[in-house]
Order: sequence, then structure tokens, then C-alpha cells
Amino acid sequence: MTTTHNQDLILFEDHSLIPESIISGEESYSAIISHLQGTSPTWLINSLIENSIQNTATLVNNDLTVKQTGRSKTIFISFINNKDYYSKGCKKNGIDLNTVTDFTYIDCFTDLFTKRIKDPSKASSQVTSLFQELNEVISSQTGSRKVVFIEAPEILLRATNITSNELLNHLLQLNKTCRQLFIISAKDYPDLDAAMPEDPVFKVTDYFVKLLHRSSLHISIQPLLTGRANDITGSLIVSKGPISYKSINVSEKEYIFNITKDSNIKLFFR
Amino acid sequence: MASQNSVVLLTRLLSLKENSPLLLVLDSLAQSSYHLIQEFAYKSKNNIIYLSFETLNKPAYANEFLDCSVISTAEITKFIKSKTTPQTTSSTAQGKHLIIIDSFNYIPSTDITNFIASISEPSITIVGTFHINCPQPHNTSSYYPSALSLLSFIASSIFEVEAFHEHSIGEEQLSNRIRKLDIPISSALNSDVFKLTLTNRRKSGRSLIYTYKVDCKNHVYEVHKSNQAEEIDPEDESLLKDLTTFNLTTSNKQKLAREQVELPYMEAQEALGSSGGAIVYEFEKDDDYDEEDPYEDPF
Amino acid sequence: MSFRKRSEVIGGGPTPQRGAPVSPIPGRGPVVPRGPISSLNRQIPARDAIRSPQSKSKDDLEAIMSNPAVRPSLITSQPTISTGASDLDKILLHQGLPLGHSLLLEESSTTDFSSVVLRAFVSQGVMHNRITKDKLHSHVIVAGVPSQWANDLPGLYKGSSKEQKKAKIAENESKVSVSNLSNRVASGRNDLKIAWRYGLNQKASGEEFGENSSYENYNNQFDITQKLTPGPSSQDISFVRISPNFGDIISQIEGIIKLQLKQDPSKTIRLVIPSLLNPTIYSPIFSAPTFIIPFIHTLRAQLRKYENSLSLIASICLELYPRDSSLTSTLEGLFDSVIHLQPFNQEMSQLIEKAYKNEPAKIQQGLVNIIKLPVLSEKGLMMIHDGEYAFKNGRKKFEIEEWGIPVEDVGKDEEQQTTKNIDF
Repeated sequence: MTTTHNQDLILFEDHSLIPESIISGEESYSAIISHLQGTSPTWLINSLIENSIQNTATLVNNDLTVKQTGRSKTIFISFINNKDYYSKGCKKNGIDLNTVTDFTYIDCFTDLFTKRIKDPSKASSQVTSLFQELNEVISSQTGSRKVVFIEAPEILLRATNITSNELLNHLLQLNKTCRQLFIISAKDYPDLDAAMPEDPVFKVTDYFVKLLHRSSLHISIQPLLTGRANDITGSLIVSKGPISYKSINVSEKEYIFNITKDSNIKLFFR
Repeated sequence: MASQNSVVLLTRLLSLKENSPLLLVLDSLAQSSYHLIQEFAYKSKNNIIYLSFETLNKPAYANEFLDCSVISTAEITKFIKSKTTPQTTSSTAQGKHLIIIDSFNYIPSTDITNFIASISEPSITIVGTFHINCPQPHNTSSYYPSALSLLSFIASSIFEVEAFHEHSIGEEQLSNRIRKLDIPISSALNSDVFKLTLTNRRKSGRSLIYTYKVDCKNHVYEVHKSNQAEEIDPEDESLLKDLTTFNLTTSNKQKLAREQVELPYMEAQEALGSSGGAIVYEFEKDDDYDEEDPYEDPF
Repeated sequence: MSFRKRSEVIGGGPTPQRGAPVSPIPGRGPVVPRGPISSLNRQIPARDAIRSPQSKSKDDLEAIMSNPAVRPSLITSQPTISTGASDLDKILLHQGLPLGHSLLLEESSTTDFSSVVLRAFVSQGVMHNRITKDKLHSHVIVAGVPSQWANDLPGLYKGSSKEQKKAKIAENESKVSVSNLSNRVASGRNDLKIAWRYGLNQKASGEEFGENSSYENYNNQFDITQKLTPGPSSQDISFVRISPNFGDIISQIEGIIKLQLKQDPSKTIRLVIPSLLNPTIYSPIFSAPTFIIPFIHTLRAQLRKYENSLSLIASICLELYPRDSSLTSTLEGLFDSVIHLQPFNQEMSQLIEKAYKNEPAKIQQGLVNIIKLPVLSEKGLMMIHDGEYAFKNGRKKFEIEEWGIPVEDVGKDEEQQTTKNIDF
């Protein structure tokens, strides 16, 4: 493994991660980052945040070296982590999220069920106002060059009575406020045969299938199917979604990657 | 001849020349209806109203675009009525309208027929997609059919799109991976060349099924013949090659000899004519014949 | 109250005589605990007196690091506490559970080994309050179970038999002098000899990790056949009842945390939730996704809020809530670390018993599968280790070791037998 040359991670055919043509374009697109138990996508998210803010990806791509300031307004919404988690993680990428002006963190984690949604069994209106607030924060950012990340919104399906369609509609509206939306979700144990609409498994599966149908890019991170390997952490699959990007093509590739304890990342083509 | 007719039928359906008020498109995670819908738009010379439940951007071909994710079905109906009344449709020659619905999956099964009935007009053709991979809610409190059964029942034509998957990914493996929402990389998936199975219903309700290979890039359609039927030829001796070191093939001379072997009953047929080869029972003394058994009647 | 009271199997099954003698200990029991406490009392305040004025001016991290119950993680240097089972501390790779993080213990089959770990976690917290007189270093919050649950807390391990004890005393005494030489804490007081007796296993782990005795009070070794004496007081432990409104439970828990931290901001808070959603304790309404998921999600938020004080261990039975169920997979996402205890089935147990029939101390009771580890998993490292470790619920501690199917031993055994037969 040590002899093979490690590769740069690229998502699009112009060798970029988040291309300029999408940020400056007119359309809105959605991308899914899905992961399974055992392979957390934090390292990838950190690199995408870095790329969105300043066009570099220090840890995963050696070609993207030119820093570009004011590239996009990056908004990060998380339902399972606080800002501290990402500001610590992004230090390795050479970014201090607390001082970057183009970065906005919306914490939907800390007080989600203590302030925002007090009654999860009747959550519809509270979820609606939560998403209204999110849309307002995103809209209040100047310009149209916006990239939004939303992490684990499916927790709302697992923890409250809202339906998958409600969440999907909220996400659709949210997506329209930005050029590129990255939806980060765990993909463990879907069941396409689920039949009870109130069952969280049904809701999450329905949510996932419908998201896949409206997406333009799908990045899937999972452990190796063959089991554990000491020098390989997992595999990363970049595939196009059913909806094509107007200006650019997705570079479909399967990588295997290795992360060391000090968060160094190496990628190889599979 | 028949294949030519079926291509004509597909072309007529795509360009809305056939009288077919509801065209249902069934798609999956392996092959989305995206390209087929574009083909409808390409062929159509009508006013296109796009009803979006999940589409982010207004497609270039759409004359009208309505975001249905936040409004009620009544409002959708109102919108369509306002856009399809004669005075607003000056742009279209025939006054025909194509309504594209990006997904029926967001409408509950109990509302779906009402919704379709409320927007149907003789001048309107509805093309709508249904994602078959979405889990189907099971209605425990009533016998009402599922949305898929309802739509398939009322649709005048059903377009089922499938990917031509490569041999590297077997059909079973593909469906297993899709069940885990793990979509493999393959140029054949979500491609602009795909397999289309068309179920067309006549006025009587009788349906005819055709299979096509559709190339959306070049707008070429051809009848797709199942490869398997062609491949398996019992006389194809190439299948026997390289299986073992034994010679399994037959030479022409051997074949000729095999054909000339006279089977025993042939002679009987020649001698006795049509009754030849019949089985005739003759009682022998060792035979165990049970007189009490009403079913045992050899005579 | 566990689902099966006292159902935990004690190691060394085939030779019950080894586990049985509890008798020598009660005689010593009342004498021994007092000695070290008083001796340490004198020792640690001195250390604290020097540090505390400085730490008050510095930030929380400094304060928590001054707590003798806390040590820096071996990997990330963040403040970490012991789970009360030193082998579990080891496989967590941080030498414990980092503060602000949570551990979910999953257990297949109907056994209740996880409660052994949970109770040791509680006992460890209580023991930390006995390091320094009039200074409480930790507080335990037990949620969901009645206070009787804490009646069965394990006591300190005091040696397995008289002989071993004597040997260890001798060994310890010799070690005391060595470490005294290299140790700045050394004061040459006589009571220190007894104090060292408490630190039996710290020395073992300390040596392994090349540490000196600066974390001597970090963890203790617990004996499940012993009762923690004296039992925990209300200063040590609080109980929180589960009510249908998760907001109430959270505010109750947070109330306790705030109160405890007001008394001393350097305290560690151990939150324990035994047998999550076990039907003998929890009514069906608590299994509603609109209760349990928001509850655990909010606990996660609390852990992040009190990242230098709070840690959580909960256990769940996989027999009732399998791993591929929506509940357990969601919980696995919300917890920072997940460890699965998988007791052996009958055939496997028999095989192992047969293989180790001459060495009953080697018999393991089940596998330890690592699913998620604190900090490392969320960084993206793939930490799943299936069937690489096995656990042994021994009398003296909950042991975890590398697992290997004992096939070779069987073979050797038979070989030896056959050679013997040939000889005869």
C-alpha cells in the first residue's frame, strides 16, 4: 500500500471539489454525503468546509493550493454536533472557523429538544418555524454565492412525529436559498419494504430514497465490505445523482482511504 | 413490421399525438425518469406546465413552473385551471397542455385519484413519475389500494425505465446494493440510454407491452429484443467448446447418421397407419386384476 | 434493580473453592479501609493546597486536571476518568472515558454482565470521594433505577487468598521503597505503606504505561463478591427517576450537575443509566421514539455543555433492541463510544471449559466487540473490532483480553494424553 501513489480527492471533472461554476451559477443543487457506522465523515466535511471557504483542501488534495478569499458564504447547520467540534476539526485544515467571516454556524444541536422542539410528539409547527429561521439566516447572507451543509436532519424523523415528506419539503425550500446543499446523513439499516408510515425506519428510508432521486451528487463513505484492514479505513464512492449538473460533470470514482490517528488522510483509487 | 409499428406508437405517445390522458413513468434508483421526461419535453410542442414536488430548478423547457411542496392540492388545481383556460394559451397552436409531475410519491394514495381527476381536461396530458424504490405505506385501516396500484390502474400508458446494466454487476447484486442504498458506479446507471418497457392500454382496457431501447442523446428509439432469447440456441455447439477435454461436438456426418436412425415406432406407424403406436392391453393370467375396483378398467 | 439479580457468572466455575472464601476478608475489612483513607487525607490536601490557588486563576481544564480522579488521555490528552475496570479503560485506548463523552454498553443474550461494569463505574466514583477527607472529587447520578440498585456496588479487591495477600504485601512493601526514592510525593510516613495497598493495580497499569504514581488514585480494582463499605452516601450518589417528560429528567439531572459544580467546579460527574428501556424498569411509553431519542440527544448536548465534568455510561439489552433496529442504530449514532458484550453460547462455553479444564482462571465468558471509540471514531477512524477481545468476569476484576479460540490447547492436551498412554 505504501508503494502506490496516493491520489487527490476530486468530485468534478475539472478536478475540483466545489467548482466555481456551481457557486457562481443560477441553479441550486443538492448533494448527499452518506455514511455507515464505523466510518465517520468528519474529515471529509472539514475538507469541504475548507474548500467552500477558500478553495483549498489541504488534507485531501495537493493541487488545490490557491487560496481564494470571499469564495462563498458557507453556512453549516448541525443537529448532532456543536460548533466547537468543527472549529477544533478544521484547525488541522488551517482554518479558524471562529474568525472566518464568511462562515456561519447554526447550532441545532445544543438546545434542539430543550428550546426549539419542546414536544416531539407534536413537532410539525415547531419544525416549520425552525426551518423558517434557518432560511432567514441563510437569506440574510449577502450575495448568492452560498454553500450550505446540513448534518443529520434525519434525527427529526427519528425523534419526532413529522413525516418524511414534511422534512423533504423543508429541505427543498432550504436548498433553494443556496447554490449547493450538502446533506450529511447516516445510512445504517434502511428497509425498502418498511410499510408503517409512522415507523422511523419507514420515514428515514423514504427520506433517503427521495433525497437520492433529487440529488446531483452522492458521496458514500463506508467500511470495507471485506472487513477490517489495518492500513485501510474504508471506501469512498463518488457517484452522480439522477439530476445532472448543468455546467459540469461529476467525476465518478471509487477511492479507498486511510486515516491515521493524527488525522492524516491518504486516498487511493480502487 | 410489428416493430416499426411499436416505434411509431412510442413516438406518437412521446409527442402526445396519441389520445392518452395519463402517462405514468415508473423509475428507480438505478434509472431515473429524468432523461425520459426530457425526451417528452423535446418532442412536445405544447404548453408545458411543470408541477414540482422535488425539483429545485425550473427546467428550461417548462413554460410554467409551480412549487407544489408548500401548497395544497386545491391551490395546484386552481393554478392549472388559470393557466389552461383558452385565453392564456395563445402560444400553443393546438391548445394542448402537457403537465409534468416530477413525483407522485408526495401525494397520499387516498388523494391521488381526486387530484388527477381535478386537473384532468381533454386538452391536458399528464406525465407523472412514480419512484418505485420508495417504501410503500401500508394502509391498515382500510382496503384502499396503494398509490402504485391506483396509478397503474388509471394510467393510460405506463413507461417503465430500467438501466442496461453491465455484466460486471449482476442484476441480483445491483438490487441487493440498491436495497442498502449503496448505488454502484456504473456508466449504465442513470444513463441517457436506457431500457423502456411500455404498457399501452387501448380504449377497451386491453394492454399491449413493448420493450424499447431509448437513446435520449440522439433521440433514437428501437425495439429491444431480449438478448437471452437469441442467445440460447440448442444447436449452438460453441457452447460446448472448452468445457472439457472430451469432444462433445458432433460432426455433420455424425448428424446425418443420427437423423437416419429409424426409431422403433416408425415402422409400426407405417404398418398400421394412424392407429399405429397405440398402447393395447392384453390380459394375461399373472395380471392382478381387482374386480371390486371401479377405476380399474383396462378394457 | 437488574433484570436478573446477581445473575453474573463468576469466573473459575469448575473450582468453586477458589471463589468461595470470603471469610478472611470481613475480619480485615473494617480495619483496612480506614487506614488508607486517613493516610491519603494527609497526603493529598498538601498537593491540593499548592495547586488550587493557581488553578482558580486558570481555566476549567486546569482545574479538572488537578482532580486526582482525572488524568490526561493517552491519545488526545483531554481529561479522562477511569471506568472502574482497568481493562475496559485500556481498550477504550484513552486509558478511560474522556470527560464530555458517553459509552453505550450493548449486551446480547439475557445475561447482565454490563451491570458489573456499570456498578464498578459507580464504585470508582464513590472511591474517589474517599481520597481526600472533606473533599469530594466526584459525584454519581444514577438514572432510571431505584436506589436499591446501588446496594450491590462492588467493594475494593483485597487479594484472592491469604497467601497471595501476604505475598503481595511483601511485594508492595519492597516496591514502596523503590517508588519512594523516585517519587517527589514521598514523605516517608509509615501509614503510606497501607496507602499503597489501595493502589495495587495502579502500579501494575502505571508500570505498563511508563507512568509514575502521579495518577495513583485514578482507579481501583473492584471485587464483585465484596460490598462497598461503607456504602455510598447522598454526597456520593444521586438518583433520578424517569418520568414521561424527558425535559423534566434533563432539568433534574442538570440541576444536580450545577449544584455539584457550584460546590466544586473541578468535580467529575458520572451519569449512569443501567438497562436502558428494560421493560421491568421502563414502562412502554418510554420506548416511544419521541421520548427516548430526544432524551438521549439532549444528554449528548449536556455532555458537550459540561465537557470537562460530565461523562455517561448506559447499557442496553440487544435481545430486546437488536443492533439493526432503528432504536439501537440511532443510539449508536448519538453515543461517542459503543462496546458490545457478547456472551458465548452453550457450545462455545463448553468448548472453552473443556479446553481450559486445568486452568479454570482462563475461562472467558464472552466476546467484547468494539463498535465505536470516543474521539477516534468521530475523527473518521474505523474502530470496529469484531471478536478480537474476550471478557472474563473474574472475582477480582472484569478482565478483557485478546481473544483466540482455544483449539491448540485442546490439541496439546490430547497429545499429552496420548504420549502418556503410549508410555504406559
